[in-house]
Amino acid sequence: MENLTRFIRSKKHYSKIKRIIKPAAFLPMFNDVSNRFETSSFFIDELTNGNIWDLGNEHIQNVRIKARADFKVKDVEKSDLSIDFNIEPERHADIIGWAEDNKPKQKEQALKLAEKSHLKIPPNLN
Amino acid sequence: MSEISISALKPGNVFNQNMNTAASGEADRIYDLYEEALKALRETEIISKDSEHIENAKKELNDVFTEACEENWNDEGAKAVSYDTYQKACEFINYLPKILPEAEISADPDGEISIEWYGKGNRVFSVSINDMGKLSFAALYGKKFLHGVDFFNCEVPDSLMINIKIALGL
Repeated sequence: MENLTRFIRSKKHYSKIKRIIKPAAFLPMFNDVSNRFETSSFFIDELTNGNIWDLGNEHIQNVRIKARADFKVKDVEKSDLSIDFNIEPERHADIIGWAEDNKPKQKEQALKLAEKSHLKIPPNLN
Repeated sequence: MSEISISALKPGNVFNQNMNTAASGEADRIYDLYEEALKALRETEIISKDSEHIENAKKELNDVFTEACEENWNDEGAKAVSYDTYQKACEFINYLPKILPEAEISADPDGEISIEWYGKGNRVFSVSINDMGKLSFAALYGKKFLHGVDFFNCEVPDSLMINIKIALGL
């Protein structure tokens, strides 16, 4: 498991013209159940581009997916973060290791990961 | 009218400085009026520095607020951007100097608003503002990173301006 993607739900979390993913796309939410900050992602090894969009549409149904940010496990590690491959739902993984209650540090971590990620736009929005 | 030309009208320049006590009360009142007028003019100048630039940023901010003003706007449990946070971000944008290029604006999942500038060669400056004017920022300068906190109180703090300029190569 090497390749991951983060499905982007806000059109303001990337710029198609500048080809950038904004750090806000990766900023975590606190999960009361697991008692940690997490950012949801999916691992996409052995999937075609079309399969990846299908995976997103299968699991994200209440908002339209605007884009996705592809990245590698090593990019996560270089951002002082780690991956919890919990596979709930299928292929799901949480980006964890976010600085506790330290928004500026979380922004730095998100900035590092966003900078290493690659923007992909759904075929219907291209 | 520029601030310099207005200074020529400063009451102290118009009235004799050896005025008697009876006249000094009136002079003080006129001076207060002058101060108020100058303050209003400064605010107008700040807001109209680059109206198109500022207006575009505000339009972007309005779009962000429209998208994220309700709870769970990202279907992942994100907090809504409050009207107070929107107003604080609007105020912050009004005080940005005109030398800065247009900012990228987005909502954070904790309900804060991110304002960003992208320079050449992997240079980024990102600041999040909340409803109290707290500024949480992070920057990328090539391979170097930094982060910090400051507060917005009717002016963009020097700590931010310096780092924004570095990110943009200004």
